Amino acid sequence: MPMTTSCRATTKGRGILQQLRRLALPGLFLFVGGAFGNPAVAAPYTPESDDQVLQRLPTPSVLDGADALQEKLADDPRDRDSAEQLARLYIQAARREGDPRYLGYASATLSPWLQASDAPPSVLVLAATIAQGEHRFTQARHQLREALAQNPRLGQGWLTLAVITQVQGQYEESLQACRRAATLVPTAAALTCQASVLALNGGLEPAYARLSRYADGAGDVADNVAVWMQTRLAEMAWQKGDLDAARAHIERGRELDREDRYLRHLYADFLLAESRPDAAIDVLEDYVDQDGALLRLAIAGIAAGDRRADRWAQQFRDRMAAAQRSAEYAHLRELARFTLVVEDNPTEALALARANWRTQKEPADMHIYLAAARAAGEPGAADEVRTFIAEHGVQDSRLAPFLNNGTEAGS
Amino acid sequence: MIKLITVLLLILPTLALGHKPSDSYLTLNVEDGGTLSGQWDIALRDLERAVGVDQNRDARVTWGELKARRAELEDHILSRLTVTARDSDRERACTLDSDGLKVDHHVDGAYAVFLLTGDCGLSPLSLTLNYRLLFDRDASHQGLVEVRYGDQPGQPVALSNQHREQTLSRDGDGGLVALATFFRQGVHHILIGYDHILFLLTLLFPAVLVWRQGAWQPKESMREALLTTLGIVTAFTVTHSLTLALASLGLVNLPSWLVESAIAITVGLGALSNLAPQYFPRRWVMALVFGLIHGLGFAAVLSDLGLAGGSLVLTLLGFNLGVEAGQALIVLIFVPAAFLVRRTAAYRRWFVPIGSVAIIAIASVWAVERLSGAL
Repeated sequence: MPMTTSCRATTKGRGILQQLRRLALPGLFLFVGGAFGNPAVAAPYTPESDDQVLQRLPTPSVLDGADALQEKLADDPRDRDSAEQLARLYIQAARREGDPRYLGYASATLSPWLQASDAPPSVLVLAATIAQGEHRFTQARHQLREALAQNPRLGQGWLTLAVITQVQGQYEESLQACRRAATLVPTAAALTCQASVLALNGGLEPAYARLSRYADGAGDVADNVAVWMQTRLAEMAWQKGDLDAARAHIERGRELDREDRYLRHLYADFLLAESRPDAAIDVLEDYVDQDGALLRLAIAGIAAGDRRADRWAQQFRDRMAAAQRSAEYAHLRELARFTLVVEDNPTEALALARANWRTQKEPADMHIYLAAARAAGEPGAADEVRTFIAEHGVQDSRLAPFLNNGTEAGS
Repeated sequence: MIKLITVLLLILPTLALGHKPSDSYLTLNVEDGGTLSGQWDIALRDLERAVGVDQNRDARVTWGELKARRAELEDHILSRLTVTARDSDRERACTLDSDGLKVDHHVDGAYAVFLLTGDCGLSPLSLTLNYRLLFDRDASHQGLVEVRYGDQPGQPVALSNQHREQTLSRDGDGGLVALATFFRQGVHHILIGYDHILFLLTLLFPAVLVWRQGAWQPKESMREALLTTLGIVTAFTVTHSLTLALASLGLVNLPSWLVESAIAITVGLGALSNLAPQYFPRRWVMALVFGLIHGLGFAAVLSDLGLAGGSLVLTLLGFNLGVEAGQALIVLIFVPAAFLVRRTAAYRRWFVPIGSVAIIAIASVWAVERLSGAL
């Protein structure tokens, strides 16, 4: 009994500390700002030759049409159609390249309409998608509510709402949003939406069976939807512990689109789980400019004994420091994973995972929270995850070992 | 087609994007006498987006291309940064020039480094930076700014599309300057803020009177009049200071149209209470309650001015003291004058009711305007 009490007290204390840290942006500046403008980090220099290439500019193929749209907008700044198309291209670019700059471009493109008090619903849906990408979930939901109240026939709006609520663990709401989208979006998208929620909410087996049957029979599905479907199927198969099926879905998805970043990271995680770090490095080593790839390279590098491991870890650390200097949102899940696996600091990782749990409740968030708690020697610290899992009937083979151990240690 | 395109966006939220959006790094050193030196690091990708650097369109920016565009780039960036210096009683715009171009690397790529010089024409106790780079092309861009006085490292602040201006004061005596600056702003605001003055005056109209037998009668003693006034002013001050502080600290946040409309309504209700005082027996209670709303209005002004980096407390204190001083000035002019004329029929039968009706009319117009602005 006293054990429990003291455990709760520390938990609470750390939670408050974590809150303070995130709230006190100026404090953060001071904390990590030591390197600010410090010429010792890297000194400005004058290049020796005019031909020296300083910067390669990314040219994502999805932006091929962007210049033309930009010109149309320059001719007629009130051309909302072109602005929405352009914003969509930027959002896609952000998603593919993993570069948040494009989200800033997208919202600048929409800003003439967003600043008006009567922003059109379709613009609000795009703005919500941008807000989501920047992890401003509350604002995103607010914008979606407003848009869908004005026009309940915006399928994309319902789908986006479904995805946010799913990420936040509100499965009832998510499922309802999927249902509202059902008649407004392609069938494959609607089914994927529903199956994704059901698979986390006690219906893993039937959800997987139905969606995979549909995927096998469906002929005419757009590539992008098909990739999403295979990605979700791979995740469900992995949840079930059916590794062969998971691998097959990942491969089918990657045949459709090699450049899908989410699927690439999933694949790397899968290879890491199968103890094949060398293969994971092969998949990721060309993408060191993306933080998600860098995180997994650092982890794989250590496991494989690769001599670049230290460099990858340091690069990831530098990126985090730079991001904390400016960003209002932090990707706590990734940071927690890095802190646990690479930095080997379970106590700090646990604090990060707990803070992350406040905004995100996907299986990966459950996993890092449970893993950090166990590594920190206080498995009971992640009891809120166990409660959540029990309440919703979340089923996932990756979580099982923690749940058993946790219960034993806790009781 | 559109359906297909939009479905592409679906998985976005479950993805962590790269961690770093677009930032520029601006450091300014302030010397005694007001000369400025510093450097401004701006990502080449951002310069490409804002002005265009890659002239041969081969998706590579070379040192030669950067140098060739130097004049245009400098014109562009310097036109998007305004620095204003203040000492204890003057305010000057500082000149800024770029007298050197170098290159540096940050975690997300190569940056052009513009070496800056400038002159403010006075020894500044605070600098106000207004930053507008790139916001029209990238709404998530931020300027990370540090101002150093002498060798003192400053506290970095982030300027963004929503928060473009910031005043950064010298520490120590600079705190007093911030205090004085915001004190003046507080006085200024209450003196030009018609709605606050009107509210206060409306409540004070009958401070020298007493409602008896269905009519306003003059109060006998100055003491009584002063007590009433003090009660109203104190109540108003306590609650508006409270909400001013809460809102400035970010603990309370209401949309400005709501606050502004509510302020207009409080003015109208205050005037109504002069016409039908039997329904509003305790005027200080009204001041107490409505003060909460006016404090939120003050806070909106304060946040428009931009809070000084390290000294929120001093800023708040200075601004609040300024508001109280301006308020005291109004009370000290109005109440004695009203006391002197309180026995005249003109004041009791004409000025109070007609003035109140006029105020109700003005307040109604404000309320309608402010509410309709929101709808």
